[in-house]
Amino acid sequence: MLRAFLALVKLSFLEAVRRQILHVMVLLSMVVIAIAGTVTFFDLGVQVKIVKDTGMVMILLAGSLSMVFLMSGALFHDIEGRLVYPVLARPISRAMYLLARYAGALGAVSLGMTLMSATLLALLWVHLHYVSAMAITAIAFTYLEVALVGALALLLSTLFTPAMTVALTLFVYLLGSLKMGYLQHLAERNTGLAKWVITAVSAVLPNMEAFRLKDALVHDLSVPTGYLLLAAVYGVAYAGLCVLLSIWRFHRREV
Amino acid sequence: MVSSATKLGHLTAKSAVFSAASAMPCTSGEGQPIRKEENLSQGITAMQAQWAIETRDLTKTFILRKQFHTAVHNLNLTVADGETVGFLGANGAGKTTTIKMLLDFIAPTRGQAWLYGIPSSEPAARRVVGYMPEQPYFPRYLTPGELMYAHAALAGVPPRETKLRVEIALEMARADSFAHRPIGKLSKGMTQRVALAQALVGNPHLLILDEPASGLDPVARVEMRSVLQALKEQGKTIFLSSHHLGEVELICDRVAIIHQGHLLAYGTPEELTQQTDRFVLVAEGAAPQTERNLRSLCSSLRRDGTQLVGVTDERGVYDAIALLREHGARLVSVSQQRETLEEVFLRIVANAPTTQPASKAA
Repeated sequence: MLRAFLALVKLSFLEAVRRQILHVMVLLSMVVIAIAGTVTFFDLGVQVKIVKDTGMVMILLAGSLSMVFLMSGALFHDIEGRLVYPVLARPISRAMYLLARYAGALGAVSLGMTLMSATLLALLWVHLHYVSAMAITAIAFTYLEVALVGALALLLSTLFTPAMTVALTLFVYLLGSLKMGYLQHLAERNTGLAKWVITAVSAVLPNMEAFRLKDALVHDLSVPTGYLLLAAVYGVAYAGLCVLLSIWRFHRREV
Repeated sequence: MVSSATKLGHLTAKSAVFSAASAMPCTSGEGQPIRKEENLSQGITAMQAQWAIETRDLTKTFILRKQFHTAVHNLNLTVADGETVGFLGANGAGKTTTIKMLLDFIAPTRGQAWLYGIPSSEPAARRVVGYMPEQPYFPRYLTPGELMYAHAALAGVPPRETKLRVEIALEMARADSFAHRPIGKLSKGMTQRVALAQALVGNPHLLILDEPASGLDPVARVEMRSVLQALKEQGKTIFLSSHHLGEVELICDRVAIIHQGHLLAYGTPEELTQQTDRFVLVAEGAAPQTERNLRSLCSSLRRDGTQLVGVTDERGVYDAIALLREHGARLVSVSQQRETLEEVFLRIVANAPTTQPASKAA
């Protein structure tokens, strides 16, 4: 069973790792991070902040966009391109197929993010001669955020066409990023049904802010371990729920 | 390029391994051999498992443009273990829909299907299955070899057997000569062979082949037929959907004819074909004048070496025999002609009642 799963993950990984979108995203991000770290405009303290800030933004942006584009079309192309038939004719469950598809794409994007992260950490090492635990933690949470975005794209891809999935995932991602600041403020300003709806929407949307430790990294702030644990559990649970819903949706889908 | 004969010779040795492996119908994900009886360990009785394929009232209704369209109506079909069954029908007859239900790609609207006694909706039912889709597509960047290794793992082939199984499958499908070329650069015929190889790599007991000869040139089609014949001789159960009626007639033990979703006929080619009112006459030593006279009595006449082969009706056969006697030619044989499968198919389909028009969906 595990061998079959790993074979599927490998197929999904090999497909994802060949996609141009991933190559372009990773290369561009690495170039931007490298420029931010090598071109000197400011004194060292400001330069390091800029490297951290740019690096974290680029890793998140490139990772999230790659994941959204990879996941949104994966199922659609497998079904429309009839690639799914020889695989589903094997003694494997659809849940395994979907999980492997997700894991393979996530593995490919993680590889790209690791290259970007290595560039960032190398530049920080050059400037500071050390790499803080906070930098590693912040990058790890970026991986978690990208995994969540991917799970969301996977869920939406079981319901919509690739273009619609990309649009909706980015829309939800954007709303999820605004949530802390904007939606809660909006809920406080409203009453009755409107307040209830905004609160419900706010609860359902993924709270992307929970994973963003960029500011803490840039300003050398510490984050309580309890918060990190809670955020990690939240991220894993949310992504897991999305994958479960995708499996449920795909289970009886006619291919 | 290695000649066909050399390849076949080489293959025979490996096929022996393949056949020996066939004695163990399949393997579990953990690589443990599973006998058919064990395969049915999930509360399924041996009685139910007497068929490799069994469908009971299998029905599929789609909604197309707000109208119900029944692609398959109450299909009751059984395929015995080791049997080769041809599944014939025109385009849109319901062949692929039936195969999709057997493999759980789509759920039946009504009825059920079993593969070796296991409901087709369970992944375990597909442990013994090798499937070759119509117009197969595979990841373009993979080579056939890489694809075979992936499918061997998916089919539950134990790691220690994988290399051998991959080699055998590629050789049997005559795909070994391009095993290291990316699939995206292969011709349609080559891709078709890769599809057959991936169906064989798990050493399946049941092969479900959807139009396996589709898009193949005549030479490749003959090769495909010889591979199917070899698989049949190994005792594999083959369920073959095809448009090529002549090939089905040559290979299959039984033939099912489906039309507009209805199973119209199911039986051996001998059971389905009827005697015609045509007679085939073979004669030797006929002079040119005799041949000219004979031509006027026969609907067709051809020379086959020293022999004349003519086809005539019941009345013409007596006149032809008399003519041959009169001119001193030797009558070799007279036989009543049977229908070809193509004629059976056309007769049965022409006599089929037309189905009711699609009804409106609520």
